[in-house]
Amino acid sequence: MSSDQAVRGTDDDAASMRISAVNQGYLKDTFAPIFHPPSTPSAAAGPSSPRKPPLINIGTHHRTYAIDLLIDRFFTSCGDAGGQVVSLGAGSDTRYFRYMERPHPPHIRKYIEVDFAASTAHKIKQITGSPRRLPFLVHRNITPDIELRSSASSHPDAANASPTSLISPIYTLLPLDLRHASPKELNDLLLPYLDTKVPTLFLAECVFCYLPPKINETLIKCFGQTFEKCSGIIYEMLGSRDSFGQVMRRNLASRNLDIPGADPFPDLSSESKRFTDPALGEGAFSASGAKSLWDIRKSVIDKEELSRIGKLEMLDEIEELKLVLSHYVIAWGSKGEGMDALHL
Amino acid sequence: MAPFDLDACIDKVRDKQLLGEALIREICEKTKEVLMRESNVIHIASPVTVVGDIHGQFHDLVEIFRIGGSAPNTNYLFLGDYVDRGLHSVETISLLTCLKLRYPERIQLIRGNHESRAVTQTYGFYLECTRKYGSPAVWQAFTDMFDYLTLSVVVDDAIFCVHGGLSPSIHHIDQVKIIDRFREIPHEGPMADLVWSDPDPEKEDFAISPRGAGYTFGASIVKKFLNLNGMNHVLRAHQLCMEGYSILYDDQLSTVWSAPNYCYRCGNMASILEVSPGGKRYFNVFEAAPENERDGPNQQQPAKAIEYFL
Repeated sequence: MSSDQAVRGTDDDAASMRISAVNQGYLKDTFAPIFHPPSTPSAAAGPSSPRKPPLINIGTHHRTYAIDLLIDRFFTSCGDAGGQVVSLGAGSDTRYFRYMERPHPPHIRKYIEVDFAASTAHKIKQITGSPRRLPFLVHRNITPDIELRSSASSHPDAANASPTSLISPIYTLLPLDLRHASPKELNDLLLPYLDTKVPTLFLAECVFCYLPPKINETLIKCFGQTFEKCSGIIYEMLGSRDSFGQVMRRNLASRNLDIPGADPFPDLSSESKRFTDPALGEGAFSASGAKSLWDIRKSVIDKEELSRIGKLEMLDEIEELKLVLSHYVIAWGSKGEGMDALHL
Repeated sequence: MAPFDLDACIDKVRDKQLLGEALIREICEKTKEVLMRESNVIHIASPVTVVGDIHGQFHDLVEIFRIGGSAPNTNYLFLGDYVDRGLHSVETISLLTCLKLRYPERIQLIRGNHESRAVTQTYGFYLECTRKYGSPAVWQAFTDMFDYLTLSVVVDDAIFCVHGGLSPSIHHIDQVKIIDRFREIPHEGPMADLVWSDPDPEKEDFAISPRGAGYTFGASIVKKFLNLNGMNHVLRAHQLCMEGYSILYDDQLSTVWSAPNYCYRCGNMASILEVSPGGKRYFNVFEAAPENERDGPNQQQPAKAIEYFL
């Protein structure tokens, strides 16, 4: 089983990869520097070193591009009434802020990020410590009404404990350890802030892979049962049993990381059916699919964009890129009227 | 500088000890003198063992000598890409350079696309040199020496060996001989093509390469080239092969790849190609050397991350 610290540490990797992609011109993200350097002390492995190899920058670009595209399609299908987003294990993700910085942001009724209390506490410090970004918590130019809360605790210092929740009219940051969350706990946490009749998207970027498969099934089912119109996006590595997969597991193990959540999905076919799995019962979705980052590179990303990023760095070989990108997938599912436009 | 003991240097480097900067500079100078006299197309006879990309995987190079036999008892032809990506590019190129200087007739070193100033600044060799020596001087010495490496070798007047592949500018090997190779690899032209091109079984002719340099080429190009030059096989490296090697175009072209578990992440096999008199070709397949477990990315100071999207 992964160590706590090791899993939280994966957000350091994500943050430093984001910064590297931004610095090299692959992505535009004015918020990434606020959430980097990361919370947990970097291992000497150097995940916080600024410049990543071209292969990594490309993968970071493709994943961000494709998930943004899916989310845009979600909001298009929501129409004027808008939609809600729940981002599980969001860590240092900047998506909400990037979206709100657009000249015409989508109609986001609610954007909830959920993560370990230690992570949300840290993110709150970074947000509140950067006053020029606060307007984006509601909408540009509007002074936000923000409430900060600490976790309930019988510890004598509870009153001085760092806040682990941030509640504002749209953006909401809530603490939850997903490994131990029951459907009731999840609903108790989220439902005060969500309207079950409003189309809702949940996002799980490299989080389900670290959780036991049963928990992931429970979480997907919970969303499927609670919201009339619901979509889900999952991004993670395949639990391949080929030599790449075996080497990956060994390498991750040396970082105290385990990927039990990826094991039931060794290939694209299994990932593409996970939302419609009959085992989800009433929580099953009606449409689902998946594409690898390599498929996305070949058939989803706009040719001009590919050409643009192709000029940023010299990629000396394609075989390794194909091998690695083929082992990462984005899977999507949707249910409810009008939601099935969500796909790549 | 006082004459140095090359055999002692070889012993030291085989033991994975770094040679001093001044010694490296001297060895590179002397090796350039040897390389300078070589044609752009060197003709050799079998038996010879051909090695593909190594990319700084020193322990796997040592493994290759274990499997294929030590120099000079075994003749070796290396097809380039000695540095970048792996952890021990310095030790790898130091050993190969010393061996070339010591046994110039038994060891042939071809230039790969990574034997270039621009590429080594992106893919790790430059950084490794500055980290291990505190300055870019050793990187400068090696990259200056790279300018002298030959571009191709012909074995038994039958097998055309090059790092990448063929060029639309080169139909006859005499056209390779007239290239001025003593320079940084250009962005385009025949010299660039030889180190950057790839076969593409889905095409017949030359096409733009997705790598951004060189071309891709099909079966009919290889057939024409071999016929015109009276040869029967093109042997090259340059492309990762999960099985360690690959054979294309009705055995008119093969790829040998010699870096197992490339970048400590790909999980691939590697091979060396043993060419014997009479045209026999045998791919000797091997796995990553066990020493990589004890001296891999996690054991470096500071530990080097094996990158995954997490």
